[in-house]
Amino acid sequence: MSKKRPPAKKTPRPSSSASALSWQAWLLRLVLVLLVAFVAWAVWLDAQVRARFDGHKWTLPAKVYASPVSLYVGRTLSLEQLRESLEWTDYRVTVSATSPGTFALRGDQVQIYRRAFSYWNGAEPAQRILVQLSDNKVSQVWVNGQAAALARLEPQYIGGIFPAQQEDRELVRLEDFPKDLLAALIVTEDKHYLTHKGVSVRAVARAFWANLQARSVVQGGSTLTQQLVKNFFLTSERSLMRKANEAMMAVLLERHYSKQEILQTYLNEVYLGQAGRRAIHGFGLASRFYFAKPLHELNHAEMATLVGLVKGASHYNPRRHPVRAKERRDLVLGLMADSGIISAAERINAQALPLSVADADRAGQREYPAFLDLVRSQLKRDYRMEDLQNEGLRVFTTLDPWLQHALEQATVQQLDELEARHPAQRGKLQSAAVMTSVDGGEVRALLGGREAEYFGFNRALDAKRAIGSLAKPVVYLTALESGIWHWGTPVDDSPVTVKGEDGRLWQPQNFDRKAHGVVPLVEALAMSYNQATARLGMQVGLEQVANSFERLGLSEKVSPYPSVLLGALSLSPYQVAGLYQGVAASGFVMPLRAIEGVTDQHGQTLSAYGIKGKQAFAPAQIQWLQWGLTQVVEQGTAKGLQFLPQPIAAKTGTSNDQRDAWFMGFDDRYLGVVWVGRDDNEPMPWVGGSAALPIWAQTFARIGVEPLPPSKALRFVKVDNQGKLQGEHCQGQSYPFIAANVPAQIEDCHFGELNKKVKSWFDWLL
Amino acid sequence: MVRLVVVALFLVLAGCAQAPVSPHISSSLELLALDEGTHSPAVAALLTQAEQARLAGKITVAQGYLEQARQIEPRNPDILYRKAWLLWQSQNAQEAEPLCQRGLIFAEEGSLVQQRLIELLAQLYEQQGRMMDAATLRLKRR
Repeated sequence: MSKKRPPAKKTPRPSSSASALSWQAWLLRLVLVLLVAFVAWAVWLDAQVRARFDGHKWTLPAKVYASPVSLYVGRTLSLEQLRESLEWTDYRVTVSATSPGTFALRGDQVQIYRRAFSYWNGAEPAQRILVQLSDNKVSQVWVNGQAAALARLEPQYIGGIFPAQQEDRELVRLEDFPKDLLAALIVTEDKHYLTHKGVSVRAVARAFWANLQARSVVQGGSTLTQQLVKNFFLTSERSLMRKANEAMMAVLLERHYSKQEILQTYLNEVYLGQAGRRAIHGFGLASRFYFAKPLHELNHAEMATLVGLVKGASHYNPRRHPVRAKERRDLVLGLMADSGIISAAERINAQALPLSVADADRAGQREYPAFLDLVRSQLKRDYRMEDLQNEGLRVFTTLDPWLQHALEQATVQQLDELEARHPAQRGKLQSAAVMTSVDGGEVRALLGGREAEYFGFNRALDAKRAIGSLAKPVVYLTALESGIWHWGTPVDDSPVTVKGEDGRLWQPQNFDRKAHGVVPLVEALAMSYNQATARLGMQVGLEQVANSFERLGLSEKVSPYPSVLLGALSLSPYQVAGLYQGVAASGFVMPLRAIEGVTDQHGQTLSAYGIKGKQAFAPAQIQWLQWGLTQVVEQGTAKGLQFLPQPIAAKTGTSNDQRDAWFMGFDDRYLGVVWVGRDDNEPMPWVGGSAALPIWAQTFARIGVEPLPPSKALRFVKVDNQGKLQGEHCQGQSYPFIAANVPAQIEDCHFGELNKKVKSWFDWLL
Repeated sequence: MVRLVVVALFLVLAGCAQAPVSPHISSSLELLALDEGTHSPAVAALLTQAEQARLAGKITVAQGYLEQARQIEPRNPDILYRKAWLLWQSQNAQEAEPLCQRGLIFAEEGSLVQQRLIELLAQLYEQQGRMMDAATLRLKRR
């Protein structure tokens, strides 16, 4: 009998079904983990997409514009100035000016089809303007066929205030894009854009096959949405993860936003070229950059050129690689014809056209870095830099491009001539200049260095150099205001020694190293005699002279040292212009101003700036000084201006050892200050009258001089050689006096002194 | 000194008079609208725009149009007066005062604009508590 063995106690072993269950559980867990990770990834990407797309999409740099040319009867305006002003704002000469952005010349008449423009004080629609010129003045203006009192041209774009990445763009709404351009972009870059969901499997497969056949990457499968995601959210890194992010974000983008929103963003985002430091983004700005016209003025060939740039803005740059760019353009035109956007005949015509790209160096695309420095510094008083760089503000300035170009041309010409005469100075000379309007202190031109388009050291604002004899008129103003001196007062130009507080002796010499004896006050100024001026300044009083500098608006503290009388005072050309602004404006001291107004990106006025100032000197007093300054041209160191209409007020200046050459002058419209020197502060073989004066003279010769009017506050009276007033029948030299201070009847010879001096502005008023 | 006595006397007499000196611009000197008066066509057009902006409450824009007019005719006292008047209306006496002074330089002796500028300047002085200066100015106008 067999003994049944009790069944062995089995140790539990995992059954195959149990092990399968466990594997599935693990798989399930893995899937769950992956799913959670995927969802987290998607949520994270979704948050990124929405945050960026719903918020501020771009940093919009402030756009800065020059002062627009105003057209009204009586305005001084040459045909050349009008033509150039139009060309600098990218207007094209045509036969009859039938579309916005064009103009036609017909003898003395200029027909302009001005584009619509949003000025700082409101938007104006496109207008047909007809201007009649006569003797370099506007004699009649018509707007849309009606006689008009006033019209404005479009102001020139002169630069932007960019954030660090220097991206620039001009935002355009989708409805403002030409339909053919949109269609051309879609057929070229993403045929199925309107139907796919962000990623096109067909496009990826087609690209994969094409690349496999070519054994290299010849075709991309990215949709427009993916391209936007890549530009907008990601880097250009080539990795699977980046590609996966791109695809997922594209899908998410399409889920949240309409095709129209995505396309509009793409059109404004895409990188289409480089202009120096500026990166050109979006079709709106690219249209102006390459063709000098807004999008709606583009023809089919131009649209195709821009669309061709999407594949590679540098590779297909029409300026650098015209052959490549034309091939690409013609390819796009072919696609446009194949898909019915244009007819076969239109394709043939468009392909026959040259690329016709606008000049990259044209005025409408250049920047004015020195002036922009000033604009930036003045804007910073009222606006945060962050807002200036990001909020798309529009800044309207006082710059007059016509004056600026005249100044730049005169400077380059003069420095070239000087260096040709002294080859040892070649490449070493620098210059800086400021021009303002006499009555308002608006800065009309500003030159920061010899190379006007150089972004760097701005000598007009930041180079403080000894002003030499440009300090002298302040000494003479103080003397005249004291009531003791007049232009006929004899002053002594013999050697002079002044003992300073530290016991050191100061013995200034004249430029010609000669003493000129006793001369009338006006001659001492006109000939810029150092010894006479030093003696006069010491008699007038150093504190009084320092006080006059302050009253003229100089913020820099002037120490009352004797050497200040002859210009041992370092100022920038901008400060010198500020100092003389009050002299040119008959005693109205005002801060120089570079900005007229600011709007937000929608044209809403945020700020408007106007004349501000203070009547710091009695007008008659300053007009008296102005007469002395006209004698600098008439008989003194600025005789080189005598070929221009007179009178002009001016003063030359040269610092010690001829390290700085200065010139200041004004007519009835503009004040100009010019400096010429070397950055290493080494001496030059020139003085103010030979180095800086010709720049001023050539600039004013080009823009036209309006002579100073005679002052009604002055009266000419004869003076003897002792400086005493004489009757009309007596012998003597005639000099102007403030009429109110001259006795009504001067019968006697050797009459004597003036009436009591004018004390203050209030006294003058009464 | 003589001038001071005259001014003081004037102030005393003014204080004794039954009708006190009005702190407001008298009606004959009061500007009713920025585009009032006769001007060159370009300036008139800008003054009209300035007045429209003022009536719409856009003072900044109105000042901008006046500034544009000033740049066309920088020595026109009527424009300087209007700029100062608008600043005064917007409680900006500090900037209005020098514009009045500037306008007086170019205003013809005895002209309406000269009287208006003097009156406005006197008002500005009064706002600053400079009663004697204001009285002196009014004396000059009379």
